[in-house]
Amino acid sequence: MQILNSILNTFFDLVLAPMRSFNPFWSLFIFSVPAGILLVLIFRYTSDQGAIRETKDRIKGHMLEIRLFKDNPGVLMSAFGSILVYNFKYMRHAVRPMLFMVVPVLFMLVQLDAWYGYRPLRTGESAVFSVRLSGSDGRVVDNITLQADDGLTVETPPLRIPEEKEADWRIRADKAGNHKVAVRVRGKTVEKTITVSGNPGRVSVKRTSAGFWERLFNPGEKPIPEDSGIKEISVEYPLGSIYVLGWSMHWLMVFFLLTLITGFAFKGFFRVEL
Amino acid sequence: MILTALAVLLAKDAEAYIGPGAGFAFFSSFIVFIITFALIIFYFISLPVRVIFNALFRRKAKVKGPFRQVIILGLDGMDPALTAGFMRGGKLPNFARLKDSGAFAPLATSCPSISPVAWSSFMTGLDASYHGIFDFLTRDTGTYFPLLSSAEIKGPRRTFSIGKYVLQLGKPRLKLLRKGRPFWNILGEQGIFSSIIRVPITFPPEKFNGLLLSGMCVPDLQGTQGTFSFYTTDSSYREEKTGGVCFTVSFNSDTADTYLYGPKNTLVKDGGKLRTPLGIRVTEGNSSVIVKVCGQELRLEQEEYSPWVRVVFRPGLGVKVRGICRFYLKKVSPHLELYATPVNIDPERPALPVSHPFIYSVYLSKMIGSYATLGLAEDTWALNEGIIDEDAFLKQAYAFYEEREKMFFKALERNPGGLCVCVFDTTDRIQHMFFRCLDESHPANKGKEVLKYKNVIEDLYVRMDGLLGRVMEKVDKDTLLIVMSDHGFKQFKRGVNLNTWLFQNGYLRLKDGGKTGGDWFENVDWAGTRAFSLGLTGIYINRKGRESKGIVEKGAEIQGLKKEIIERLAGLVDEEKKEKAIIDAVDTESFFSGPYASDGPDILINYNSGYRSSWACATGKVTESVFEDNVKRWSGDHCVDPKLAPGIFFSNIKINTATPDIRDIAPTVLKAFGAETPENMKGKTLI
Repeated sequence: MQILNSILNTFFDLVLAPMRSFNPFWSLFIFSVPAGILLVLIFRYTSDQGAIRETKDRIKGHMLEIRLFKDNPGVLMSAFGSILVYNFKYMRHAVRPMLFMVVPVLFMLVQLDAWYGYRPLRTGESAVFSVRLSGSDGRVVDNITLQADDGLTVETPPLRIPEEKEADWRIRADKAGNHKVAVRVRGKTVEKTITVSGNPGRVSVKRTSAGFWERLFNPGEKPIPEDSGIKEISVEYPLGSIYVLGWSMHWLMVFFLLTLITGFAFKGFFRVEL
Repeated sequence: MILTALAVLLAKDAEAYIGPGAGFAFFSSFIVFIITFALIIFYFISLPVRVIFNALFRRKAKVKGPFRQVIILGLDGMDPALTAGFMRGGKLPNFARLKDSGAFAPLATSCPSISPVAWSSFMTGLDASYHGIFDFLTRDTGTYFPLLSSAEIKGPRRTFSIGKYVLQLGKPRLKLLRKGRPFWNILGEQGIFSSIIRVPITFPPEKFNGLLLSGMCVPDLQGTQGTFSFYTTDSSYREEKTGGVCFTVSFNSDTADTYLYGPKNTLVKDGGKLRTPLGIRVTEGNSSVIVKVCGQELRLEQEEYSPWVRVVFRPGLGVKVRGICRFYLKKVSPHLELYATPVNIDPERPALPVSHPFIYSVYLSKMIGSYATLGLAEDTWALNEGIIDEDAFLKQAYAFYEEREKMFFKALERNPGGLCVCVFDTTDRIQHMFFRCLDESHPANKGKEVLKYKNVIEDLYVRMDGLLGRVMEKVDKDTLLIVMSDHGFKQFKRGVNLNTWLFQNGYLRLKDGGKTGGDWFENVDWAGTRAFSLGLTGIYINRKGRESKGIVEKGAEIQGLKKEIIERLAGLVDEEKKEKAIIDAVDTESFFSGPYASDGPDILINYNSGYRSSWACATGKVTESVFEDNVKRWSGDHCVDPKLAPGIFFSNIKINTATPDIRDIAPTVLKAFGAETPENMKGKTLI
């Protein structure tokens, strides 16, 4: 998983980093168009195109039936029923390509979330830095120490919550760059990266210990070693936002619409029945 | 879709959403659902308004007659003698059942006894002099060239040139030349809804209260009545064939690149025929080919048809002309032989309207898949010319039959009241091509398989009996079922070239002392020609003031000439066979009383059984001899004395005469629904 995460991180960095200075909408736009094309092609090759075409034809046929037999209420109701039935059949035909798309889409969304779901801290901005421990002894939180590098300042003493096995600090970003915060527990040190920048960029919200799903959804940093006694370290980065025509929209909505529009725009070119 | 929208709108984490792949499916479904719901609501809410509007302004009050539904099953060319024989032999149990419970009689056909005339009489209740259709072809009185008698297709009235492009301002002008009103138009005005499927001479489709899919005379995309393409590596094939074109192709490695041809490019000045690339690749083992056309790849095994393939021709400026065709791989070695049907108008995106309303052809295509739209869909010329064999022809004919049956039952299912008429051409085409197999002495049998196809016609009738059985399941006591054909069938063993007879008897003159003339009156000296024949039904007088180079004066000269020709042709004997070839000939103007009597041939010829106008005569040729053997596979025909080739009439009720006439169907159906018969209709009601 770590190798895969490294490859994906590198790939997305290569693709998105050059567009760091763009408005996030445009960089997401530039990414979403080929992504939409890729998804359309996956749909094409993993779906039963013949069956989808036939099902869609029947739906259209019954819609025309409504127009042709408009004075016959019996036919109208029957056509409506048939359209519903074929609609369900159509959705059933879409299940297989959706299953094939889940994997690439999941990786894509996790990576995009790291880029667009949050934004890096800006110089002078503060954020909560949390450490949660593993193990059963909550008193260990009393012994956690924190060491930030030059670009960061630990503004507050730790807020220790033994029953949650958690300690929180407020840290302030002083200089742009990828800074390290060293967390020391029971003689072992684990580092967490904090990104400070005025531009959008990939941030790692959380560094977690091993575990498939945790590693899948937090690909930004290597997993915390099992024997460190730390379960996770997180930073509360500000939420990212994308403005479309002056409206703030969740990046996922923008991505969904862009890929959808791209898919429909290119389906004719690639001869895909959607 | 709602779930997806919620997932998207409420998503805090990316993993809450499975991505745009789901969006493709759910978005489409959602749109469909919304549109459908809106349509249903609209039509339900507007129903009372439409009823009131129609009652007040458009249609007469709905009539009520003894029947709620009338079904007419048209089996083109089904012969009463053969039907009776097969019934006696127990082969047609459903026909026999219908006969026993209702009626069976020979149905007097039209004069001339030819499909476009007969079906026009069927739908209007009129004879040819009233509906104006005397043959498939008529002549251009200016050029003597042939014209389709039923429809006129012209470009838009106005065009606009920019550089090499000619922009067409408006739609092509289509005109139905058949006169008279079909009975379904009359029913429509009285609130009876009709579904009319593939009745001949309904192109271009007319507006009325119902649905109509045009039949015989719908052109292919090239504007012809069917032009096939044949691709072969065998250079011995002539390029021009009747009804099609042969293309000699050569292989570069295992691939041959050629073209599929479409209509003339009217968007560009002096534009030639549109074409689209066609790639043919032979697969390993030499048993199949991959056909590449318009971005599609089809693997074809030997003796196999492809499904309908959508093809697109691009005249320029982003315009697309769409058609459909099917490929048939005859063989791969020693020579490639690949046949393509004529490119039909795509019913889903028709280049010309083939239905009323326009969306009806689209609807059928969506419901049953692509289907043949060409009027004469079964490619009889491809078989006649030896491009495809009998088995391939039968496969094709029955594939089109299956399409038609689906349309018919779809119409019965959706229009359980009202009128439903469907004409099946399969019966006509198969009999035309296999009638020789019923007579071992037929000259067309020479060098051809006979025994193998001996039962083709019997099988055809049995298959129609099965169709009838399925239709009868849909019939209740409130339904009038009529099964009918427009004419019967006779052997066509000998052709009569009237042009040669006219030449030999001094009525037609050739230039420069020639003894023979080519197609379309090549070499005819019009200044010395008093009469000529074109098409299948008769002789035209070269009238002064009507034909551009006419020489025969009105009045006594014409009357005298007609009388003379009629007297000399009546009883004409084929000396070689010692048989009477022509029973008699008829002066059209004195035989008919309608206003369009003078539009047809001036003399109609009633051939004896076994005879017909020869192939050469139909195209205006003058050959060496008047009589010749018909050696083509097109071996049965009905262009004989109408008394010799009646059609069939079956109904599920008793009728009031033993001698029904095809013109009687229209008034009968009108009466069945309680509608009045217009005074000008010549037929009499049978119930």
